[in-house]
Amino acid sequence: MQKYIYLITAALTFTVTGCQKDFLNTTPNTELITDVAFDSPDGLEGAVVGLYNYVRNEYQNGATLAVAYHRSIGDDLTVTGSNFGDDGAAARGVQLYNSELDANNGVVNIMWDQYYRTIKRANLIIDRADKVGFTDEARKNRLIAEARWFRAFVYFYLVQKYEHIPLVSAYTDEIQETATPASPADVYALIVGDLTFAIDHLERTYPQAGRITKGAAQHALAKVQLVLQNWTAAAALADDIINNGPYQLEKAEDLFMDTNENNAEGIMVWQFRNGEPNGAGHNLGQVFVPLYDRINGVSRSFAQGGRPYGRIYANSYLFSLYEENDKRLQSWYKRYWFYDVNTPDDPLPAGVQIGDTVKLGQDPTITATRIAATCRKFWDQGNGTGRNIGDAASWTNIMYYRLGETYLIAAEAYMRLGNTGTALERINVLRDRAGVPHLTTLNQDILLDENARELALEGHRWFDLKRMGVLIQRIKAHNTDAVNIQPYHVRWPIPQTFKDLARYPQNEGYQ
Amino acid sequence: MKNSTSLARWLHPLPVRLWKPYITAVLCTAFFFLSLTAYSQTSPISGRILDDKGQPIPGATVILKGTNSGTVTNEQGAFQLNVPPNAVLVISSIGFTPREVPVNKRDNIQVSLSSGSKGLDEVIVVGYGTQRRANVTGAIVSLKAAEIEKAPMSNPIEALRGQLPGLRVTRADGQPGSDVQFTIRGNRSLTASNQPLVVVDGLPIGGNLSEFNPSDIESIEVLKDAAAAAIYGARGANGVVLVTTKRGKEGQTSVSFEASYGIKDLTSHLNVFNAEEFLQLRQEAARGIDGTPLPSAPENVLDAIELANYKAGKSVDWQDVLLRTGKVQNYNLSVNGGGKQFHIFFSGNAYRETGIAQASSYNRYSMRTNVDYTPKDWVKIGANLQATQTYADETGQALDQDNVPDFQDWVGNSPLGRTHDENGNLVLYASSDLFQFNPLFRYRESKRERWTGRVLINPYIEIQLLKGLRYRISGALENRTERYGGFTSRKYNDGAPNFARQEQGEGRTLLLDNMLAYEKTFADKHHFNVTAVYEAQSFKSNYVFIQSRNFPTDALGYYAAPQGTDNRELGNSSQEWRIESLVGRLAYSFEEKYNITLTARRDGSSRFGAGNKYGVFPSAAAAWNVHQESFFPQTALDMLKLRVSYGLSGNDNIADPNQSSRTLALRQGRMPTIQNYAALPRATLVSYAFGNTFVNGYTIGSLGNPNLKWETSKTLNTGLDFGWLNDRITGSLEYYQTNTSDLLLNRLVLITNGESSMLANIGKTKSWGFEFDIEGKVINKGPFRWTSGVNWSMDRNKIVALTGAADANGKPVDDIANGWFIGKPINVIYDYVFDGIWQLGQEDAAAAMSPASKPGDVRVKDLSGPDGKPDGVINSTYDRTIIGRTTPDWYGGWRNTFSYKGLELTVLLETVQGILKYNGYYGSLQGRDNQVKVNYWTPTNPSNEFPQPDRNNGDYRYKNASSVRDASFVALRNVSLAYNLPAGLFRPIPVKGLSLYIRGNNLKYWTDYKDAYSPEVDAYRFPTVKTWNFGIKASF
Repeated sequence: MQKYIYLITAALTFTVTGCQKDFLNTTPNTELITDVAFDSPDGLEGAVVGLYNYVRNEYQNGATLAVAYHRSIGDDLTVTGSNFGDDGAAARGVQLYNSELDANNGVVNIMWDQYYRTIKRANLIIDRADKVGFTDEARKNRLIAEARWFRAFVYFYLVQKYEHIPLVSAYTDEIQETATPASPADVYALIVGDLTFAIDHLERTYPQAGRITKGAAQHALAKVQLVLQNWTAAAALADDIINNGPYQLEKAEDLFMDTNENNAEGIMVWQFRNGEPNGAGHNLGQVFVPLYDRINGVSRSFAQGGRPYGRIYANSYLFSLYEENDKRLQSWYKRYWFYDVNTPDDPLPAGVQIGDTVKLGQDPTITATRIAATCRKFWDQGNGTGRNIGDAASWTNIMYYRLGETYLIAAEAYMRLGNTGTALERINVLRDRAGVPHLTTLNQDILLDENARELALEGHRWFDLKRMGVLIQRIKAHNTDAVNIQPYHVRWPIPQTFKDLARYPQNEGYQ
Repeated sequence: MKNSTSLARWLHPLPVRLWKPYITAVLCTAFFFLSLTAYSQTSPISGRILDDKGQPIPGATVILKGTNSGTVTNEQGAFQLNVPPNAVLVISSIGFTPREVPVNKRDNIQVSLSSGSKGLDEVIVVGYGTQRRANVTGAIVSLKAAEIEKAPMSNPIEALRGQLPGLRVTRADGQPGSDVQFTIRGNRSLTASNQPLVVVDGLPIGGNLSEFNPSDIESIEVLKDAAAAAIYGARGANGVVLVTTKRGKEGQTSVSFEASYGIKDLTSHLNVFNAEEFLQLRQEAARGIDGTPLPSAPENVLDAIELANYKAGKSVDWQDVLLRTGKVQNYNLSVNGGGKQFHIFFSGNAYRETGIAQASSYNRYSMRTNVDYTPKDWVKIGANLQATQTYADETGQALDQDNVPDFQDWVGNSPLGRTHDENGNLVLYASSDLFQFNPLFRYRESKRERWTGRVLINPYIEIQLLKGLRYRISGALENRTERYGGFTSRKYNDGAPNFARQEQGEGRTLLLDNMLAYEKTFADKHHFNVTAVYEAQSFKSNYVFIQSRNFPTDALGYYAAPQGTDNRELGNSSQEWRIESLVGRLAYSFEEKYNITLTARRDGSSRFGAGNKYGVFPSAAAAWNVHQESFFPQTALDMLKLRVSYGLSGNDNIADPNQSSRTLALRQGRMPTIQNYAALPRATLVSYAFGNTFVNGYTIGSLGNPNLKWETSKTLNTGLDFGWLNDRITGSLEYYQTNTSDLLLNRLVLITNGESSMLANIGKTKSWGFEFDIEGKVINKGPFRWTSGVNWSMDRNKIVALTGAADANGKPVDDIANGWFIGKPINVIYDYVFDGIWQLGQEDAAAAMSPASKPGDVRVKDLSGPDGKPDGVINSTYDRTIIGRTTPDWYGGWRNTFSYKGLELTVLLETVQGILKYNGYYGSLQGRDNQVKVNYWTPTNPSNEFPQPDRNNGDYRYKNASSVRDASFVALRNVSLAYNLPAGLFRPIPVKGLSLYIRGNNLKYWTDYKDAYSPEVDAYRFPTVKTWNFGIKASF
């Protein structure tokens, strides 16, 4: 009997304990290991998508909404809205230049982090391109050119905002425990090299809207050359875009319409499309819209601005720069609200009709901040975008580089070179489009006024004021929020965590 | 056993024809089994087992020593058994000292057992086996079925609340069927889960424990120290909860049926501003803004709907509108019994609960069959089988599609709003404010439903290899499925298209155990018990979801998920995890005086990095039964046992920081999900829209860490058990100290590496505490009896090391964002110190302290400054401090049981003391939404509690600091009143026992934590409920 028992037991034990060699080596089924993801040309093509995604990410509803609109504020053309406080210290620091613009400021930290993330990912592509067996040299160079364009784009931002930045120009798997500030000259050398490579290897157009093109690289390099005061180079790049690029100025009234996306004026346009898998919209249109729908007799509609966020408005100084018949003022801003509804829940005030303009004093629900003038450059009016009136997120594209700015770049470059005639020729193209008289003289202030009329709230003003050295004085003069601005606010602080981890020197004024 | 005579009497008159088929069946079965077992020469023996007062002991176990065969005594204490002539019988029963009695060729014996020290002879489950309490060396506490059943809960762990020292159970919301959170000896981990390992009949499980029927449970053991938990190795650091289900017992088959009905209600109502007060709040909030004079006319601060209602004198109490009385029904049928070789426990359960919020319910249907079969006296086979199905309607909870927390509308909606329009139709918005949704409308226009199914099968074969040497192979299969459907109609959100989502997930666990156990006593003194186990476990899950918006019909509900044109999303996730282990345990006992237990477990886990997959977790423990010593004086103290243990255990639960965004299904349990691939560098899917062309790609997702391993806890435990006055008073005392190292933390790395952190084993914590447990028979003579038991626990912890990051001066930095401070407790509130409200006349001081502060604003204390002393300015770096802990100073329970004849009353009080909490119900005072009623500041009401309302201020400054409250409480947790009717009453119906009961849960809180549904539930969660249950239990 005993014998059989042993036999059975031995058999059972053997059957079930037979050692499986790789029993503990499990790999994820629904995720890719990094090494596998980037070991082929197709893998790197996908990694480039990651760069577009990472940089566009700024506008999407991430950690704080203030990041999405930070490029549009903190200059001389803006004033805070009624709900600006909802975005907290991150937004206040950037617009008000108070003590909340410190090393812990959310925008300061998020932009730094997101851009160094992007640099690592761009370096990966540049590093792997030679190792994954490309057979199509043109494709390889296009991928490298896109990666280098993004690397230049983010370094250009970082070096202007933070100035004393570490330069990471090659990929490594090793964890780096130290970092030191690079000289701005080295950073600009890398940027110029990257953009030159991109200009040499990118086409003027691609079938896919939103791809980085030769024109986008030229435009970026032209802006870099303005900072470096290489006026001739800047003028040449801008002129090449104007003369040889596939670009044309749109009519002012059509330029920012959601029915006219990816139009002929756009040189580099961040793409948003409802239905993109795992994609998200942006709120950039809504942050400028006052709480008009709280007014009795005014309903929420796309025509009047959609869901209001009331964060930031163009200030009265900007409006003082326009002539009343400037088409840009008429098309790109909404200055009046209208009564459009009369229901028991939303009754018309006494003595007004549907269609009348809302005016202060007609009803207690009307306040100055609820009828503030608003910028409509980023509005999604729901025309085919699948957007609903209750949605905060919108899906209209964000034009970041456009031909209008190229003309301003050319005008400035020629002006600095002393060629006022050509400069006026360039800038008056924009005047023509706006339906206002030509300028006849040009200096930095006149140029800046035109810059404001053309580009306000599009995310360039801060950088333009800074490179001209007038950031602080301009903000002091016209930004009524920034009463505390100090000279050191011309650059941002180094984020606290980075500073602590790397024992990195803090920028002057922020110690 | 007074009833046994009447029992015999009612059995007798039954017509013989009813018994005949039964007897025939039993005889046939018995004959069959007898023929199987008659391979060796045996002869029958019968006997009776009595207690020291000569009363029969029913249910005592009589086992043939060195085998698994044996029997259980009947109601008269009698048994019958076939044994070899020289056999030795081991006779035991809970509460009595076991005895070994040689048969010596007798055919009838009478054995009396003496009631030994309470607990010491109790058999308790220790993981991979059982031990007598006397030999236990670790810190183990246990609760038996009788006490578990007294709490009318759907979740067996919730029934433990307040009952065991060292175990703290909390329930963060009252959603029917939602799970509980529990910790053993508090927290030691920062990012990994602090949830103990739960093992049901040998199978470590996860998921919602509501899916287990509390009535199926025989006992729950809680392993607290390393000596006890080290046998679970890399998973034991948080302690282990062992759940043992009921098994069939030999003897008379008993059938019992239980039915109960209960009602549920709010434990306490929330006091919000009424219509008039709300108007005042709005007026006050508008003071001085946009030139509004004060008091503002109602026209200026109310919207059209509110104004109309105000003029008509109408208002809404949203809590009344949305609350209802919850109902709970529970039905249990169980069969327990068997012959000599075959035992069965069977149960069926139906549980149905409707919540106090509309559109919330939970139903559970479960079945369990546990069988054991001993075909030969050297082999035993058996299996446990459980199948559970649950259904939950969560529509009432899930209004949070727009990230509005659950149940915010109960509080926030305007009391001057409305539920219906003038035509009697439900309206979407309570007022003109497009953020004030009418929940009633949304319940009608949405559906959120969840189903789960769980099947557990554990078969085993046990073979007697030699006398005392057993081999046992057991397997387990657990399959858990979860299905979720969510739908909102076209009307749900004004202007938004309809929405549907379906989720489906499945998790499968396989476990294989090979165990060798050897038990031997040498020279009647040296008792050895050796266990060796090889175990392998694997888990694999699969999860898919689909969703879309804008489909042509609302009629299909969430089944339209693939049919919409917008926001079409689909996704999946599959996780795999494996662990392979070798376990060894040696328990040695010398004359029952000295006991030593040595354990070691070697675990290999797939979760860890290539170089760190295996770890060894040893422990050693000793216990000394001092009262067994000859020198122990004869005093009132009649039992004294000292214990000491030291050992290692691990924690492999790498929590997923992104859990909340992962799946809706995971949100429900609010349990951390575990990362299985954290050691590997992984790529993330990214997308971009080039015009209308969507392109996907991968980018670097996480850095990975090939050196990742488990957290290690080293625990020293000392304990003392005592019995006094003939065990009239018994108790125990524990002290422990745990050092946890290799804590899983996100180590900050320079962002220039591409990511700002990577998971690494770097932190350290230390925890320590005392536990005390005493039970006394206050009145133990006569018909009226009173037993009282108190348990008390205190645990403390502190952070010893964090990520290792240092500031410019090389000083290790705290993690302020997470609220972790080196040298401080793990769970703290770090904030400004509330110091009242700035009053009129303090304008200058207010403005100097914090810019833009004025009378009516919150004042906080100026604690320090750049020079280390108060600088007259409030600054986030210098003026925030650790206000206190969110874990209690101490907690405990007090249980009293009173019995008089058939009547038994049990009252359980639970207390948690010295715990701080932010009360999230304290609102913004913006006046836009309603909120709990508070005494706010106005120029004429110089309140020092809450600031002046301000319409333009979303969250007033220092709001958090002003809402920190002490959340200590005493709760009347459970009350159970049961009446066991005399059995003779029901003659001739064959009812063996019948009891009626009323049981209550969460009946009352005594607390200073006002303005919340209870001190335990967070703001805007499903409120805490109280339950009254009425039931009847009959056994046949």
